[in-house]
Amino acid sequence: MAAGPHWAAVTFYAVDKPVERGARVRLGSLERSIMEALWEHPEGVLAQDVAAALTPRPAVTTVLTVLVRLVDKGLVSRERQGRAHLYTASMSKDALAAEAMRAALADAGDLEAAVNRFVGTVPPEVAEALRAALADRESS
Amino acid sequence: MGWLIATAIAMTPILLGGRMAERLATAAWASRHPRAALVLWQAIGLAGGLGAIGAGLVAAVTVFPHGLHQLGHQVVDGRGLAGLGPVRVAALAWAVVVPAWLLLHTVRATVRTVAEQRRQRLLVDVAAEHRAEHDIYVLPGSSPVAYCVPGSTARVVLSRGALQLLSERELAAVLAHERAHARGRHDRVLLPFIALAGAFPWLPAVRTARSAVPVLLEMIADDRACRGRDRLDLARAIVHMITPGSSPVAAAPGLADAAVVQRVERLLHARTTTTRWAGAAAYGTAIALMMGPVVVLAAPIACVVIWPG
Repeated sequence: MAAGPHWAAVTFYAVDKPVERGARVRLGSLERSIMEALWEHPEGVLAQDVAAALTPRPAVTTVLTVLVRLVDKGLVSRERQGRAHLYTASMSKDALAAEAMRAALADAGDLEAAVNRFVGTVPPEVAEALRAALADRESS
Repeated sequence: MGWLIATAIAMTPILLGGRMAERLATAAWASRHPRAALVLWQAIGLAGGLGAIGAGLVAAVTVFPHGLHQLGHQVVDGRGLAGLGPVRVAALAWAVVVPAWLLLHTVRATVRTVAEQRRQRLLVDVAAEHRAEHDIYVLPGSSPVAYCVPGSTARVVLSRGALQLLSERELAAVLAHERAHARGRHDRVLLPFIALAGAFPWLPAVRTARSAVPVLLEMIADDRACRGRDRLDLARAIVHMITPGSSPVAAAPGLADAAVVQRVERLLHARTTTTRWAGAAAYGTAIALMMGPVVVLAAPIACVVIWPG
């Protein structure tokens, strides 16, 4: 794909925090930059305007590829306007964070292998017993 | 007579599986040797699966292993299943359907898990903020949460609440635990057991394995995280990270609770007796279990090699 180099450039520079020189190129930050651009424009934006809002400017085709993926995943919705599409974020930033948290807290069942949780939720009496056991050990 | 013995050998893991499964799930040595216990579970699963296939094949032919070898030739020569009674055809069908059914569930579980991992990664990429110093992803949110989305580019995710709660040493222990899951590809270890539970949910041994294996994987990650570190750091982290009260009575609350209790217990109390033989016995049993089904399945092949024609 001709847009390849842009991709790498974008993923490197679009990180919202300053990254040390030579840090590993972070995957997924183009998605984040695009979502940030959409959250700033709740009225909807065209793909080329999203591209223009990012520095350095990625190819419009690259932005479109990511937007289509985000639409497929339900994070972005689009609406036809003339010959182009107007893109809007379908969830607020807070709602998205809540959704990610829910995934970490909910009982995964058959999808248990998709996420490794550090600890699950336990009844209060179990939590209390464990706290007591730890305190016991610390004082001994 | 020959096929009776062969069937018995092939079926041994299945027959023993149920009883062994319960003992294994509650055994004290398993929490001291989680890796050996996991290998034993894998052997039980594999031997059980191969045994079920082998038993079907053995029941389908009169004289084992030459019967199977003859049947192979007959099918290759285009004479199909001529001369086989309905019982033998049924046994043969069983030997074909069991692996197909297992394969179907394995593919289904894998596809669903990989899709969910992708979705989780995307959510994390968009909603979380990357911190380069620890290479972690931080979600805004006050409830303490730590998890890892496994994959070739795994992401370790913590909530802001978790970061506030944990001391630097506890955080290091939590990260080491999550990275141990990611590096060990524990998702891939667990997947076959999820597939097995989906394929044969009515088998008690399968259900026991399905709930016991995740606990062992947690213990393996705990042990890995504690290398060169005070075991109490991780114990403190677990106790601090537990979110009490909000427990929405899970599907199997008993075992999940027991798992956390067991994990903390084994971190708090340094191993009193290191029973080396327990691990060795587990690995030995695993090999012994595999022998029967493998021999039954390999015998016809050896037969073709030794007596061709």
